[in-house]
Amino acid sequence: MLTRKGKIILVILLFSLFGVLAVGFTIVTSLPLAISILVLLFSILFWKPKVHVNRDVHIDNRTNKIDVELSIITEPYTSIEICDELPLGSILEEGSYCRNAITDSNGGLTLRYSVRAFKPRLTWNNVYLSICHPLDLAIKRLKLPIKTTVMLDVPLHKSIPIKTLKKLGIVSRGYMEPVIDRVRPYAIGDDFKLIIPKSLLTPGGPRVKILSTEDFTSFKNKILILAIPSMLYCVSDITKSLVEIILYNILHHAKLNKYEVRIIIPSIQVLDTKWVAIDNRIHEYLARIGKALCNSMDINHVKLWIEKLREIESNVLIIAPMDSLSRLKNMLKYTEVRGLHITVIKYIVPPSINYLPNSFRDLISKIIEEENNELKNTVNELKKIGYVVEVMESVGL
Amino acid sequence: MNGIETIMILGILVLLLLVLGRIMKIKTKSFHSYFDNIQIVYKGELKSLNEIIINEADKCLNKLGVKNLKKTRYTYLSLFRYISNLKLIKAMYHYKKLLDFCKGHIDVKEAAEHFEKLRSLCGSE
Repeated sequence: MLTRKGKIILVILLFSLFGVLAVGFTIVTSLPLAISILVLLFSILFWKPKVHVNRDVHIDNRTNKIDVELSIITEPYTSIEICDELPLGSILEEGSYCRNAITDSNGGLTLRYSVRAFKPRLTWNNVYLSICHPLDLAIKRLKLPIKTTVMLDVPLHKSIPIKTLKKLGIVSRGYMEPVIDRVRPYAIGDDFKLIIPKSLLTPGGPRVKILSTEDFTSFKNKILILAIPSMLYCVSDITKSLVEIILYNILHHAKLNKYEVRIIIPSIQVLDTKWVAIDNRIHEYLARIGKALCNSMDINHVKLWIEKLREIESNVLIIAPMDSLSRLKNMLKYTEVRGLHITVIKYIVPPSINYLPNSFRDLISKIIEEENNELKNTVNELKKIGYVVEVMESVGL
Repeated sequence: MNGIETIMILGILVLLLLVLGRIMKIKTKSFHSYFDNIQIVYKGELKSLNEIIINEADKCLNKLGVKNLKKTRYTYLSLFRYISNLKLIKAMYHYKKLLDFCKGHIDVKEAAEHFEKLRSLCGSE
């Protein structure tokens, strides 16, 4: 693609050629001129820079952090804009996945950033490059299919903590050590493992530990998730990632604690998983749910389910993206159901906004500020009428 | 000019037309694919960057006195009634450029310049 400068030069060259011909120079002068101009024109039009791109990834399994390094080698001192495509299931942690810079004397340029993964398998697909002609006459835009796949051992006990889950008592149940309730003298039939070794030497005879008789069945061992569909899931990868994080955490803890989970997505095509005990196929569940989330909200079904929540004996969590919240609030206002946990997904503007000119960036910032104020008001209203609301907004969950 | 020269000049003219045709055909879309991801929730609806810009430009033109712009967006003839208002003609020029940006015909930087100029015209009203 030609730049504005390139187009002007091209048009001038063409008209000069036409002028030379029109004035009536002899073929000896006009023909070489015409050929050289045409060669120049075609060289601009069909200019294709040589680029070599390599993606290196360094995985830190301890923190789920992946350091990515994109090395580009092309002509020296060339202006390049490079953007990497973030894989789904990851969140940008450090640096930027886009860079606009001039290559060094060897034609090299490096882009470094880090992402945090919450899925065991991440795939990068494309690299976007925009290379300027050395004379700034043309810009070449390339989409290079450089595929990289990494496998991680997502540490099960290091899932991302979410306040709402703690409030629901889901997180704290994991890995609970047995608690000694009291000690009593040994009686026939007691488990030998429970005998206190020191007590064998004491005059009163052996004593055994009596573990806490906490009745686990009294806890609600079911989690119902009502995930409100929204178009925001379809357009914002970050929003989708955040929801996946929440769902992943819930499914994971449900698996650890042998809870049953039921996920309902009241979209045009209602998704209801029924009560399921989560096994090792967490990612299969996530894939099913992910597809259903990107849809229009079915108001009648949402109303129906909110009313049903009264009768269901389980922990309930409503996940609603920012754009569906006001409609949800209007529904919740007129029901008698109170005290539910609502996790709101705040829209996060992609970092590519930083590459926009100032005036556009300011315009978007102004709109976001207005929307955030409205979101605050809606959240406050929900809190006032008796709901527990948590807003998810940042990558540092 | 003899016969050979005429043929050569005609040949060069044909080539020239081909090259010009090629330039005209080139889509000057320079709006990066990753800008397409910029979508904002505005008044409960998802809006793309283009929609936000045009919405703002519409507000701006409304301030200047152009009403029912949606009907007249593609029929600039109706603007003849504003011919005496130079500021409005300038504003319409910038507005048209922003529409070009939405169609992908101009660069984001150029569009930003037109946007700034349009806003300055509204601000000074």
